[in-house]
Amino acid sequence: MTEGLPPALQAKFAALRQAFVAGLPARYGEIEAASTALERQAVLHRLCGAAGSYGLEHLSQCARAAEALALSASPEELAPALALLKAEIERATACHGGPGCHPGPDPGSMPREPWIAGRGPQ
Amino acid sequence: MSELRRVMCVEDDPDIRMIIEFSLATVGGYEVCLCPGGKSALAQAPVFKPELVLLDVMMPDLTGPETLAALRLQAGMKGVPVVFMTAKAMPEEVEDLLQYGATGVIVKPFDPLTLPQDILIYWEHGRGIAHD
Repeated sequence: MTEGLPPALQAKFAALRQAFVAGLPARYGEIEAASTALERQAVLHRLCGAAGSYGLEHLSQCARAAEALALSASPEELAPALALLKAEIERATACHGGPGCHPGPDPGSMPREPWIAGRGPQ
Repeated sequence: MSELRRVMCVEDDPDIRMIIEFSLATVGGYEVCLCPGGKSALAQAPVFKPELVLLDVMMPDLTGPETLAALRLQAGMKGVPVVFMTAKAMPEEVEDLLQYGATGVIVKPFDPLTLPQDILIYWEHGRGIAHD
């Protein structure tokens, strides 16, 4: 993801990602501790946006899938999506956010859909 | 044509604020003002005088649309391009956000390496609207 950056910036990004990954278990704890479906959805929503921006695209997709179910599904229906998310968090934390431990597309190829007013998706 | 220098980012998630700062300040070289919420943005805008605002949608104190409406009432902020950042990627959701008067919408997750270039598209488009 950061191959084109100077080494100092690569190191800074790696440190940021490690810090983010270190906080993932706490984020999952917030999901489990959420007292309402709306609160749970909000935590999943933030995780979806944050994880992908740190290059953890697969984890982001897991969070998005759970978010989509958070308001409408029963706890039993939501459980498999949360289990997938938890497994992905454990995978990321096991390798401390280092390179090569995150399946999924290279973030440089992430589908991005910037929308401009009056022009639509670019 | 002048260059974009000052970018305000309004985002309640501290991890996203950090990666935005890395992207825009460290990689992009912009002067960045990070605000954890809408109320903070309203307090900082008259001082920082942003030339572009990146605005999260779901925030606990003021929502993105509420913050945008309040920013527009401030002196000097009427023509400043404002871009929503959201993880809601459905086209109808994006179109709804544009109805609030934003210049555009960036769908999260974003690529921190290309974001510094991507925001120029919105800035130039927003300036064009402001000058029409």
